[in-house]
Amino acid sequence: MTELALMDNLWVMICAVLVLFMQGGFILLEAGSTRMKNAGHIAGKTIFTVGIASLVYWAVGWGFAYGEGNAFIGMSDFFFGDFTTVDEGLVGSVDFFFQLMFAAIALTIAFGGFAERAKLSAYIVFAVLFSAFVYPIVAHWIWGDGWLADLGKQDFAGSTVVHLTGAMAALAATILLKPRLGKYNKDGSSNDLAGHNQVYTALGVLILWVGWFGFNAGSTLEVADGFFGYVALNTQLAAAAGAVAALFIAWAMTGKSDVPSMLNGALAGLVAITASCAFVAPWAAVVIGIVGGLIVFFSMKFFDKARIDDPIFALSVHGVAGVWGTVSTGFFATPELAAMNGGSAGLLYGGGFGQLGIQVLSVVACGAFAFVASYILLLVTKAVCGGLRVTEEEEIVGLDLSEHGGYGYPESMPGNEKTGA
Amino acid sequence: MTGAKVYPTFGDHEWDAQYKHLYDQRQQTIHNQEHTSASLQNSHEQIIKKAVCLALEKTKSEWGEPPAHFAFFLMGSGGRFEQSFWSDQDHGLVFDSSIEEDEAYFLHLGGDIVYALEKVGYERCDGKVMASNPKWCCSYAKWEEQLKSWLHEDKWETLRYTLTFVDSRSIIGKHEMVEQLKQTLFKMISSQPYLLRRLTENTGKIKKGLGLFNQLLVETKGKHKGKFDFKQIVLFPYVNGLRLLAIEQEILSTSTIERFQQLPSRYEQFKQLQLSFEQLLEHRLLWQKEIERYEKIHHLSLEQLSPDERKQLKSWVREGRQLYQNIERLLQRVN
Repeated sequence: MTELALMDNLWVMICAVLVLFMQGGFILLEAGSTRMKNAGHIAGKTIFTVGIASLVYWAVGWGFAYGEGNAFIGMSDFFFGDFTTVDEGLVGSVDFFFQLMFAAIALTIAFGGFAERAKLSAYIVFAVLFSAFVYPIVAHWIWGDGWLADLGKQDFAGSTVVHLTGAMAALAATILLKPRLGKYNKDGSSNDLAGHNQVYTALGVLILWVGWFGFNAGSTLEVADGFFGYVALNTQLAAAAGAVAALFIAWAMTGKSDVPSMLNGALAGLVAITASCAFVAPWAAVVIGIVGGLIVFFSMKFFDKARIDDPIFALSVHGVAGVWGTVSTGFFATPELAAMNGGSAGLLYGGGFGQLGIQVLSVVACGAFAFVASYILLLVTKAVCGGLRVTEEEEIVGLDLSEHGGYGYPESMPGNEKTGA
Repeated sequence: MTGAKVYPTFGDHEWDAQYKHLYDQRQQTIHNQEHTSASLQNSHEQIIKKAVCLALEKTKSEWGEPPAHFAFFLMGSGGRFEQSFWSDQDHGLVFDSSIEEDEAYFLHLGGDIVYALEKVGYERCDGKVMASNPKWCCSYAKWEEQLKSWLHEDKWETLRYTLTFVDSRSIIGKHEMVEQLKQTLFKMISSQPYLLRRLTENTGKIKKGLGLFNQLLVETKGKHKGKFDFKQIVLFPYVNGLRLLAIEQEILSTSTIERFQQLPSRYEQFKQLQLSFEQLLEHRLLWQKEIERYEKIHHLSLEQLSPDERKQLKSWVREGRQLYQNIERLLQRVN
């Protein structure tokens, strides 16, 4: 193995660990955005579902995504165990490890739609089904030898593959699960079931932001020419612009500089730039981040009005911003960067509607597939588990107690207050 | 038996029946009739006076005649003649005695008044600005002392109490006691002009009513989510602004309209907004007519407003804010 190849492998390994660390960001983000009585549950489930995703992706997921097969699914390399070395590029296990972390992130995003009301058994069954039959298929289409890859679809680090796929599963879940108790009133108006800890949520966003450098810059898969630095620059600019834009629009529209909106703006900037980080100029990264920050605000309002209860805003942050990010390269991809990284230039660089069309097609196709497949698999899950949702009583006492038998915050719960000497 | 007064010997049930009767009367005169703002104030005034008289009768029947002269006064919207269909209790009491037992008598009376008013549909005040609270039920001497110490302490909270007291209006008893207290207060403030600036700061936080795109801003959270906070956004800038001018000009009247009227002619720029404020009060009644509970009375559903009404509402938001800011500038310049 050449020294350069060794560095490539080391770089991607480090980035894989950074992407795994993003789960820590999700734990804090989700726990902070939900209520105290569900905190232990929502944090804990992230750990074991990463476990399930790992086992399933190792067994069949990688094979469906990157095995040899047809334009729609791979059919080899199940139970991955390649230990052979290579002269150039990544060894199989490093590549596998990096890809596995993305699969686990997509699953965690999907579970955003489950928050505060799904049965533990539903998490377990759907984790298996999603990691086997939803994520790997979309990954194959775009990043494997699939039909969208052949068309020259641009999705550098996974605005579509990871974020939109996860969000579509979350949408199917939140529709089937129905809103949380107390979220909507009889007259259709909604209540704000505020998260219990904005500090956790903010720290969660920062950890995700840090991890995103593994996600995006790591997706160069190599260190040659130091291009990862450019990818990191675009990532940073979009996240920054997203946070500022969301803070501004929340203030302009409501008169209040709402903190959760701002945090979601930063995440929307990150999600949006994920597809385009290797294809666009820095100024375009800023524009992509700004638009991400603005649309996430309106999207949150829209879902709230549409009576779709999205407790941790997965649909807006990962879905709507994921769509925007994917489509954005169709406008902003520069000819030089497209030549380096695949596909062709965007509309604003004289590339015409070709690339834009491919981007839109991929969003529609992948979004529809992920939604329909998830919906069907959730119905299967429902049949297997005897329902997706906990009983009303369990939901009221909280999933910490009903699903796990103990509270995330034992001393803060009714009946458990310390009374002192 | 000559000279001895005979009190009704009612039990609690009989008193409650009296209050219930008064509550029914309230429904008739307040909720089942068309009102202008002025006629509504008169109706409230009659109901409140009757309720307080009943409470006084009850106290007399148990504790005997009041041991000293006293005045019972309203504050808040009642004091200012600006109540809506529903309002809460804000009131206090001053009595001419320094004997401890007498204080107990008037505190008991205060408690009976709170109970009576609650029974006839006036909710208790969350901030406990009520004659059952020793802070708002004091002897004349203690009131003087207290007003002085509120100003001397110069804390946000004590200045807020002071501003609350400025809206006091005696409805039962020896009215002069309240007027004299207020005159004393005005003198204290005018002798230390920086206090006026401090009072201006106290009500200087005006809730935002218009967004960047000139849209009306509604509550984003809580039980009034989606509703427009009419009281804080529209009413308060006028009310708070005119109260400050009343302090500066030592105007005893408590109604905002009368305060407008009594301003000297050199304050023409403020006086000319009186009509607009009167219209605002009338419109408020129109918009709040259907609201059935006190906790909802201050929040409007914008959906029920026509485009013209929204336009009007926006102009009041802008005008009120501008008015308060102009008053703020004036008082800072003068002092």
